Amino acid sequence: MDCYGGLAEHIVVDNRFAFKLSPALHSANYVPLLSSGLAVYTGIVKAQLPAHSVVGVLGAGGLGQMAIQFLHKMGHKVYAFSHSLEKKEMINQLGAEFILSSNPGSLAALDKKFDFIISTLNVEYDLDAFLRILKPQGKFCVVASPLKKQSISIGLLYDYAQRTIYGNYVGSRKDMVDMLDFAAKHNIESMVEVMPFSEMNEAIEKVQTGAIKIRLVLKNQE
Amino acid sequence: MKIKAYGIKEKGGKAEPFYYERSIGENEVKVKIVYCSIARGDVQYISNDWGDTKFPLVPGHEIVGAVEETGSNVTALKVGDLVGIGYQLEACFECEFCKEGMNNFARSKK
Repeated sequence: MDCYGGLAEHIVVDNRFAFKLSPALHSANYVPLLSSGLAVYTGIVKAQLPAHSVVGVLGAGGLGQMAIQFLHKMGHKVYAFSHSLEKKEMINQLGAEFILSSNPGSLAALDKKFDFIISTLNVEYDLDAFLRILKPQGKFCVVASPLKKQSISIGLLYDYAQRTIYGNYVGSRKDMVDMLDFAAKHNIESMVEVMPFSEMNEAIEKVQTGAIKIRLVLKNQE
Repeated sequence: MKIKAYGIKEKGGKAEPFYYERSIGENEVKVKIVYCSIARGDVQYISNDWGDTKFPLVPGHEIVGAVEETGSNVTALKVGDLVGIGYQLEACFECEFCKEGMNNFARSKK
């Protein structure tokens, strides 16, 4: 990244990367669509899932909550894996069943059950265990990465399973337009806390320390 | 033209007013920022977790704002339009990936 971002009074961009927002998307709750939303939506669309697929979402933070909503509104059967029991109610409200991922028995019982899994985790996890619960030719999409290298048993990608792993971070301009249309139509939004630009350093610290459990959006008062 | 931004000067530093020069190209728009999220990724850049941050850093890659000025070639947007801006700000629109509509793979992008 070698250019200046949006924590500013102004930004100059190519008009083809400034996407006109429909009035349905004008509130702060839709700001996270622009990167998080695009990352998960494009990752999901790339899988070309048949209708009513069985899908899993790893992690129920900002990206995960968005992935649950997109997959649910696309008509798939969604399971969300999280370590936090306190997120169960929120996960159910967004349209997914909750699976406690810290329970070691929970994965073994799900052998070859999933068509698709999307991982939003930025901490280390047992990739092999999640590959095993994919059906043959199932797809595993990563939209976030732990800082450390992850190990994987390559054999889980062989015959009798033929699973695919791929990553997704942004999307094309068409993906962005499609995603914004879909989000407006199905009212896909994020839980956000809005703080004024004047408190930007407090905001950064809040995200740094993990003191905030929802997405944080700064509003420019000028 | 001078842009007022909020920059981080060093690893883990505070955001403070930071000015840079920028002209508006014929295909570009100048946007008055209304919302900018602070995401985990921004914080990871600020603390240089990936080891590739260039300082001064102006974080923020989920942006909403109003078009304030348009370049001479811009017809799709007009002054006052509310627009959303994501991680990608530019593409070359010339390489083989761009020509297939895959601007996210552009050989030259920001």
